[in-house]
Parts: sequence; structure tokens; C-alpha cells
Amino acid sequence: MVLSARTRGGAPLPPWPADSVSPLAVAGLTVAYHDRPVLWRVDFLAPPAGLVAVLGPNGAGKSTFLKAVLGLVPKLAGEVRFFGRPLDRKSGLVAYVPQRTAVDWEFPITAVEVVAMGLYHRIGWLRPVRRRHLEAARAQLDRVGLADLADRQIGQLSGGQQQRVFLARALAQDARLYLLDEPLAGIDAASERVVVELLRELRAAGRTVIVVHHDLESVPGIFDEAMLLNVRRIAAGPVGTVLTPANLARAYGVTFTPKVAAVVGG
Amino acid sequence: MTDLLSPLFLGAGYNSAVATLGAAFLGVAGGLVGTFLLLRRRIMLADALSHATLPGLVLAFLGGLALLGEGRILPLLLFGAAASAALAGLAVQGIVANRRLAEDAAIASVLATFYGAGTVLLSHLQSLPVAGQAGLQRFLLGSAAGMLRAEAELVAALAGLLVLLTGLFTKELRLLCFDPLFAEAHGWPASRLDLLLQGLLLALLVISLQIVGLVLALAVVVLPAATARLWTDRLGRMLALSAAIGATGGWVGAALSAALPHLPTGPAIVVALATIFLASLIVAPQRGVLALAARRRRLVRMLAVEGIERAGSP
Repeated sequence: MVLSARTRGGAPLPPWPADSVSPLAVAGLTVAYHDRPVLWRVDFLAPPAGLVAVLGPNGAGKSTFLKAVLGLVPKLAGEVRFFGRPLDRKSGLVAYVPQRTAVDWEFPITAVEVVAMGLYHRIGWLRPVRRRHLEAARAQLDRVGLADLADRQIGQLSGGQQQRVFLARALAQDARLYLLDEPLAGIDAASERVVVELLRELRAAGRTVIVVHHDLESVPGIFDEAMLLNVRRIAAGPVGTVLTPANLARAYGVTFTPKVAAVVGG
Repeated sequence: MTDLLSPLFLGAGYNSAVATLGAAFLGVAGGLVGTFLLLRRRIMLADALSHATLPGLVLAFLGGLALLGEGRILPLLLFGAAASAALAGLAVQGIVANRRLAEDAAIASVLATFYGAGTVLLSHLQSLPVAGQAGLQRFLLGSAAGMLRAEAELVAALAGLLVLLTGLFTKELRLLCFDPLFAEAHGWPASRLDLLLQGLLLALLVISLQIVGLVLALAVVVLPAATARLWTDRLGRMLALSAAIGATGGWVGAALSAALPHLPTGPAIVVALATIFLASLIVAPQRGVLALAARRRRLVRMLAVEGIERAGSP
């Protein structure tokens, strides 16, 4: 692979962190769509519990970061470990919430049926969804304040309510690590309060939640740690050390292209 | 009048009864598979794959002729049809997976390529001095009337298998159609489930070739599902309704075709299904033309009550 950091003679990948049971450890993650690099040698280490924001401008590779660690888009190079191991998708340890815009909300399905999808890995292949699964899904809808909308077709819910349905589905999975793609984008104030409250509950329960987020101003009030991305990792760590003017200028000021890098580097 | 009605009640002789039952089974299977294809937004795949059976059919005919001295061997023909449709399905998936083209463009290109090749092969075959080629024509527009008992049993068996499989995999297919990213991330391989859906479609096409024909096979897949979608917002009900509509259309169409000797089965079934579809477009609750008009009238009345003058009125 032309784009692989190793074959281009770049610096060797960093050694594995001593704490190999981190919920998510990423080293040298490199991803391209066709010939366009989207992530370039990104390292990341998630804390054992807490809320982590993934930040950066449009096209910085934030959503791709989540998809690439889950193997939903192919990676050119890099290593990913969940709790010290390669991902076992069926294990139920990791819950993923795609962007709300990724699905067809006209689909003939009710809110409670969507939430029950969070239980499918426990139900297993070919077994039907039973009444008790729907009851369990209903309980999760209650946690996000939507118990009375459980039997509505999902297209009849507001954007914020749809996001809460997605979150209830993730809660039903009872995972250890949560990867959420833009759960706070374009939702009403009431839904935002519910979502933030749930994130705090998850942190209190010792879970790690990694959230792709776009609103820099709200980061210090919600998150413990942050990673600033723009194709490359600009900075990562406690929020206060990441959101410095210098880092923000690097992330939002200049756009990375390999050509620029080659010219500057050569 | 009795002549027209008796096939409806299987009273027009053994052959016609077999054909009518076969068409009803096909309708059930088409309604179920079509529902998932519609929700996966891949309904046009049915059109591409059914047209893509043509080169396989002709090649199987030519192969049978060359190797066994006989072209009209049904299992060989159906195998050829399924193989070339499977190849077309893989071609679509390959083009889409590499993001070289949008899905509709990939499907249309594959349809044109395979059907074009099939037509060329068919013209070539027709220029040869061999007997039995008329047997291939029946796959174009379908002909349940001449269906043998063994063929009808194959149709029933495959339709039963399709009902069973869509039932078993309802949960997995619902997940695939609604949220393929979530499915993939949690260990339900979307690409393999898509292959399963394509496999179900292939089996469906094998049976619809004999009854509806390859040109109109799309109708059995799309019309029951699209009609059912007009009536309900719940997947379970949509599946049941779609199967029932498919069965009705197949039954009535095959009976009509038996009563009117010059009406081929395929077009007759399509007319029956299209009639149900059009009626639903008008009378369906929520989405029907009448329901929309009623809601609109209510709004206009509200405007009048509130004394709001409509823009554009003098």
C-alpha cells in the first residue's frame, strides 16, 4: 500500500501502552477513501471510564474514526484493541450509535421495535423477538423519557426523540464501551438535557463513552477528555489541555493534504 | 359467465387448477421477498436479475443441444437462468461495494448488459435450424397454463422454502434493511445478509420464470409490497398483507388467463396485481389520494373558519 506509514519509511509505530486493557487502544490508524487520506497515523487511548469527545472540523475524519475502529471501513494501517483484544462484535462489549441521518425514518417500525434491536445479540440468530424482549426495550425507552411514544412509527417522532430512541437501543445493549456519532447534533433542548444526563449516568456506572461532537463550547461542561482531529491527531487528553488556542488553530486553521506535507517535509 | 368464473374456483379442469395454485404460491413468495427488497431500497435488483436470466437460459439451451442433443431440459434451463442471474447479482454488489457507481446506475448497467447479451444469443439461436426453441419463448411472458404437475410441485416447494426462510430471518432482514451500519457493527454481517436476500430473490425468479416470465417478474416482487406499504406502518402487517395480495393477484391472474385463451399468464397476473395497487393508491388510509384530499379539505375549512384569505385568491 502506497499510503501505509510503514512502507513509506515513516517512524515506527509507538509501542503498545502498558495499560493494555484500555477499553479502546488505537495505534497508527490510517484510512483513505480511494486516494484521499481521511485518517493519518492516529493514536488514541480511551480511559477506563469517562466521557471523551472526538472533535475537529468537517471532513476531519471524526465519524470515520469510529467506523474504522469498528472495522466498518477498511483501514490501510494501524492496530485497534478493545479491552486488550481484537474486536469481537458479538461480545456485546461495544455499542455503536450511528448518525441519526444514516437510517430511513420512514421505515415501517415502531420505537420499541428499534430499541429491541439492542437485544438482538443476546437473542441470537434465527430466534424471534419475544414479548419479554419488547418489555425490556420498553423499560429502556422509559429511561430516555419516551415510554408513552413506544408504539409510534419512528417517523412520527421529532429529531431529538429519534436520537433518544437510538440511545435507548444502545442502553439496551448494556455495553462497556459506547461509541456515539453526533448524538447532540440538531436536537431540541429537552432531548439534549436527557442525552447529557444519560452520558453522566454511564460515566457514573464506570462506562467509557466516546462521542463525536461538533460544538466546542459545550465540551468543557460535558466531557472529561477530548481528542482533536484533523486527519492527523492534533491533541488528546484532559479537555483543558486539548482545547488550547494553539491546538484549535492547528485543527481548524490549516487543512491537511499529503501534497502539502510532502512539500513541507521535503 | 360461468366459463369465466369457473377457473377462479379451480373448476376449469386439472391443468388450470394446478396453474392457479402455482401462481398463488408464487404470489405469496413474491410478496414476502419483495417486502424486504423494497425496504432495502433494492427493488430494481429484481428487474435486473430477472432480465439477466436470459443469457443463461439460451446458453443452457445451446449447451443441452450440443451435449445431449436436446435443448428443452427444464432443470438445465432453470440452472442456467439462476447462474447468470447470480452472476449479475454479484456484478451489482461488486460495483456498488467499490463505490464506483451509485446503486441505481449499477443495477441499470448490469440489466442492460445481461439482457442485451441474452437478446443477441436468442437471435443467434433463432437463426439455427433446431426444434423446440419455442420452449424458450414461454419464459419471456410466462405460461402457467402448460405447467406440468412436477413443475407446479417445484414451484410449491420453492415457494414454501421462501416462506420458511423469510420467516426464520425476519429479525435479521429487518435489522439489515433498517440500519445496516448498526447491524455490521454488532456482528450481523450486512454483506452476507444482502447475499441471503439475493439468494431468496434468485429462488423466486426461478419459479416466476415459468409462470410470469422474465420480462414482468418485477411485478410479482414490487406490486404486492408497494401496495401493502400504502396500507400499514408496521413490518409484520406489511409482510402478511403483501403475501395475501400476491396470492390474490396470482390466483385471479392465472384464472383469467385460463378463461381467456389468448391472454398469457404473466400479463394477466400483472394486470390483477396492478388493479389492486391502483385501487389502494386511491382508497388507502393516510397515504391514499382520497385520504389526502379529505385532510386538505379539512385544512381549507379551517382557513375559512379563521378568516384567513388564501394567497393568490382575488
